[in-house]
Amino acid sequence: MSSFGFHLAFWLLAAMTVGGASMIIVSRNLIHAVIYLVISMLGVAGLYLTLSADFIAVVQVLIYVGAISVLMLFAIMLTPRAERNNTETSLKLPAAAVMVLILTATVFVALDTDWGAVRQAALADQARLIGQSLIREYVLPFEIGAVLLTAALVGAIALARHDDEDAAIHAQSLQAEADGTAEDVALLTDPPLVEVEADAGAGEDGGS
Amino acid sequence: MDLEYQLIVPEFVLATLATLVVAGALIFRGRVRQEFWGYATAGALLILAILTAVFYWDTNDDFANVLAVDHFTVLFRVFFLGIAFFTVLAAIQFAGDRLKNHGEFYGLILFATLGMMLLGAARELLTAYLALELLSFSFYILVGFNKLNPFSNEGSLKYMLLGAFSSALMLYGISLIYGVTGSTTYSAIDPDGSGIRSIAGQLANFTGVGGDSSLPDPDAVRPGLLIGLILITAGLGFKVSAVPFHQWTPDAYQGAPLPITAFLSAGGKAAAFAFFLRLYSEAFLPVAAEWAWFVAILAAVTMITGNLMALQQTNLKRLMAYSSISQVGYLLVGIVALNAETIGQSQDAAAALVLHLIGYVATNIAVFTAIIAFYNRTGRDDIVDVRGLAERQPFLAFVLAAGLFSLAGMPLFAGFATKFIVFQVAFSNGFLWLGAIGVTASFVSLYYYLMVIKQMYLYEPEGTDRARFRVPRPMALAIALLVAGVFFLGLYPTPLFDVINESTAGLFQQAIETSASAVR
Amino acid sequence: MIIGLEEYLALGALLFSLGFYIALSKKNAVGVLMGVELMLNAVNLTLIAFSRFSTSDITLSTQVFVIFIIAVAAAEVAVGLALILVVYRNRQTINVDRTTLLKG
Repeated sequence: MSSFGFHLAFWLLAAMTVGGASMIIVSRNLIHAVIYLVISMLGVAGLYLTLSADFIAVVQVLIYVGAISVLMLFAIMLTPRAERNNTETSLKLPAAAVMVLILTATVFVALDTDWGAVRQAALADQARLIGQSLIREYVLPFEIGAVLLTAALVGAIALARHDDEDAAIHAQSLQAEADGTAEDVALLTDPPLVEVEADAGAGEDGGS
Repeated sequence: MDLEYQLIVPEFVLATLATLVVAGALIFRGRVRQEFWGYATAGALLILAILTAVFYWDTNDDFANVLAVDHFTVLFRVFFLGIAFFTVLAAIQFAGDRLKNHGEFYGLILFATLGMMLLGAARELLTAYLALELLSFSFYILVGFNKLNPFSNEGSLKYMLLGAFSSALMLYGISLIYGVTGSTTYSAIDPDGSGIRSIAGQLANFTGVGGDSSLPDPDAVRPGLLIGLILITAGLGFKVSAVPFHQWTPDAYQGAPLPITAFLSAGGKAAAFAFFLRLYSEAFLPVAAEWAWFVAILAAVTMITGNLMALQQTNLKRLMAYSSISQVGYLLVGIVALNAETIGQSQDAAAALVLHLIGYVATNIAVFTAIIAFYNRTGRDDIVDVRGLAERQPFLAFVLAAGLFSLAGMPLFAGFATKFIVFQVAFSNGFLWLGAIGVTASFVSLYYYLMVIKQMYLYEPEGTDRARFRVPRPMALAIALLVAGVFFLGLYPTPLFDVINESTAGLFQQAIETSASAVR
Repeated sequence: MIIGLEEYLALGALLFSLGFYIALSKKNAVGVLMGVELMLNAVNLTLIAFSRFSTSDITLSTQVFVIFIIAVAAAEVAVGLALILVVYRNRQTINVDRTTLLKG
């Protein structure tokens, strides 16, 4: 398997993956960064093909390249007045230091550990085998995954739904932000109960 | 392969219940009072908890090698259902006054509970990961559920970003451990020798206990093993909010609606520790020496930082956040103490950890329910706001005082007995310095808990609203029950300790068998 | 030079570190999410590499693991999108360093 074509594919795909990821760091425009993310993920999909994981490669293209990047573009497009720049916070230097540490450690691990590697024969009929294991030994994770997606869906809708009543409060909250009184916004939206009970004297021990 | 679905009926019932609550609240919108969904959820949780305890206690089985249904699972099932029950009970009035979308709110609480139950039971990393994500997703949304409040949004966004980040760290650790051991199953009891590969079995081989000579030299796999363990521990550190991975905690706690803060501090933590304990005792015990030092550092730093940061807080929710961080430090001592010379000592550590967890959670829910009752009336949550509470609502003041004393570890209360056992185990398993830090940290913690108690008892009420007020019956009853439990645990922990001992023993079954076969 | 397990793992490690840096340093919430996605891709690449080269005979389980990681990542971004929208409506910004009402 160490043919010239294979080498070329590996190094090209590796360059594509790492190059895309690095361009996300460099790129100052958020939308460009998403495009670079797509390039990087396509590179990873190609690497799965060199590892003979055909089904995973297809899933990668469908979900990462197709769905996740589109969701990210949605997130950017639906927030039109937010800044679109993709710059770093003040945590840049410490993050870089920790990154170098992690990089050194993980590359050392990758190269120095004895993984007992031998190349396995590639699985034939992967999609069928994966499908079968999903209804046999991995049936429970499969079901948990279903519940997880349901919960995420219900929650995301509950959060993102936006009615007129909410819009008024958002406007108020933005005004407070503009006036520099954002600290009080929580009280606006989370008002204390003011009515005092009539029989104030009867409020003795509630638990007895 | 047999799939014994009867083992996981409680989980199915809970998932169905969650869906029904979400769908029901949509279908009957406007036709049923909002509180109905809260009481229905609470009632169903209570019934489910009782039935689970009755029908499953004697089970010791395993679903398709991914989910253990043993004493430990059942104990934690009942424990999580109980936590959810008390949370829902505490949330009903709060949700009615301040939140919208009640069906989704209670539904997500139920989904989170389901995640906890699965997490405590999982004995395979993929299952555990999915359960953890189910739990985390529900919490991300619940923390941001008060979507009109910018504090809630912000806490939730930070929690979500850091949560996703920590999951990625943990997954990378898992992938390295997979590379080393070739398995994602914690441990497999393998009576007929059919060659079920498990993490624990493989690791025992590396350390020479199992004695399989076809494997690589232990030193050759050490880098992968070590970094894998550190990454998993760091990811778990985020989930349990151990210092230095705690940054999201105060923000999420302060931003979340109060009942969710209670649920997060009790349920979220309990579930993460159930996972932590099962993973580290069932799977990673053979290499305890490799990770114990790292967890020990985390525990020490967490105890010190948590308590010092708590000293400076002025907001009650943030104070409770840092208080819970320091409690995580004490709980981590229990994990460290798993690294002992004999398996019996490790078992003691596991039992002590679970006992302290239960004591902490009961106390914390009691304190939070009292804070919620206070907040329902006043809408304020700073420490100075509880000024003169003893005059306005003596019962709540008493409960808060008792709870905070228990968290500080005063005698008479649960906190003393359970913490004492944890430190005692740490001492006897050879972690003297850690126990010493813990005891000192407990003394420091007394100061900030007393600050709150001083405000309640020594000062007159201030401001425009000084009237006495009532606590609604169901809430008062829940608080009274929890406080009674806290006293009972403090004075007479033996019965619960025996139950816990019995349930944690199962975690070490494989370790005992392996060492027995090595002796032979 | 033969392309073996080590090369794939080192590539995974590099990708992981890049994702790690992006997740920690970027200002924009979407940028942080991108970093997390890169980290997850690195995990997936590592797992698939192990499934191809490992001596263990259960190569299928890693592929299943990877499918679930991808599914969870998609759900994660969906929830993230909802949270980002909610924050945006209240504050008109999705920069994590500008959402500073809460101070750790």
